[in-house]
Amino acid sequence: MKQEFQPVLFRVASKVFDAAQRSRTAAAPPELPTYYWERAVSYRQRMLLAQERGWQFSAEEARTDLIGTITLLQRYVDECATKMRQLAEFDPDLAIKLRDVYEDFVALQSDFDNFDWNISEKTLSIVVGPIELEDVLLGEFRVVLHWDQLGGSKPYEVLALDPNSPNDQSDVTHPHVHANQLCEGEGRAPIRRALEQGRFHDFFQLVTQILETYNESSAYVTLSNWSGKVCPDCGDRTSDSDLSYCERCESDICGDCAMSCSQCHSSVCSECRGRCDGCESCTCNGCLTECADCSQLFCEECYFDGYCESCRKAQAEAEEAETADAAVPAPPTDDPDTAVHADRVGQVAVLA
Amino acid sequence: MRILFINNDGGGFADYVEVDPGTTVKQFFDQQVRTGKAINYLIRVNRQPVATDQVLQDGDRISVTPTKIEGAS
Repeated sequence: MKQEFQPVLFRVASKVFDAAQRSRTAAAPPELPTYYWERAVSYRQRMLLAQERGWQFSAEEARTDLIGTITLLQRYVDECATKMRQLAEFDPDLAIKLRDVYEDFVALQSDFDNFDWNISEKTLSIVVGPIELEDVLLGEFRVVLHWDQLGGSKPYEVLALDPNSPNDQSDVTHPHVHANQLCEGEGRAPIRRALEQGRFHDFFQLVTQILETYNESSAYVTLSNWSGKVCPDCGDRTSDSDLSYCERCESDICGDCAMSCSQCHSSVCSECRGRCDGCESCTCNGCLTECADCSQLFCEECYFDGYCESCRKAQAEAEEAETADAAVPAPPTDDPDTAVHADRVGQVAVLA
Repeated sequence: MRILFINNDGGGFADYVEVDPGTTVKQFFDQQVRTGKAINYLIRVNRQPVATDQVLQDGDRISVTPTKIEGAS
């Protein structure tokens, strides 16, 4: 169907076309498939680990992933080699054309209701979503391309319009978006190519497909833990349903790190608990008291009236000794009649 | 006849390819994207979504984009 010519859209296309031409380096080498190389290394390590530990199923799974990734890597390396050979004889037919940019914009208008531009800020944008992945609603995202930054390393941003971030990571708005930057993964090379060649419809389409895909094995925060928090004790991210609560400092901790006080039975974190130096039971800091004598900490059962059991015992013994000393009879006199000598040693006879 | 083929899978390369007259979108896809199934791709001719039995014309621009592209962190 023939589209009606849009002069305003054409003017925007012409500005973007100029910017794209300025940024373009026809002789730029193709993006190398480093992402696939890194994945292959990771699968190989996983396979070796699984073999070492005798996990046959995991080893087999890693082997299959490794074969698939190496196959893809080989294909892309071949494509890079072909492209490098072609660079020597650059095809002018593939140069950016104003007409193509304009037609891309017409297609973007038809595919995205919110395709928009801002001439003073030199931006093009679309709105994607609402996006829901694995039953987690992430909301809408505005993809903003800064046409004056074409050729730069980060010419676009992905802004969450109604962010649903993990509880303690407000700069993560999507499993693959951090600080408004999309980590493109598999999409890196095609996105770079699309921008280099002025294929703006392809660029927005690629970003959309990445935002609508979830890669659990390489996410800033996995969706299963999206609503959870990082436990301050062990550092593991824990889902809301598995979170516990320290009743002393009120911090959220995971169920594994929460311990019950042996005295008051409140749930406490590692910072708010200790061990009784007497019975060694796990006790919250509020139920531990310092012995006035030895300065060690004791629970209520091992502490009484300012002292621990050992110190009390020692005190009692000392007191007993003092009392005994006070009750000792007067020292013996010189009267030989009353002298008692060692028995059966043949030294002295007791006189009757 | 000459077709501009944009492969957004992997390297994202665009190039002109020669195809036989009467080639359908499905036949073209099978020839060019050997490792994938058409259902897993957005296939557009001259920026418009098309049926796989559409016959390609000289000078068409065909783009192939995976529906699932895995991001990273």
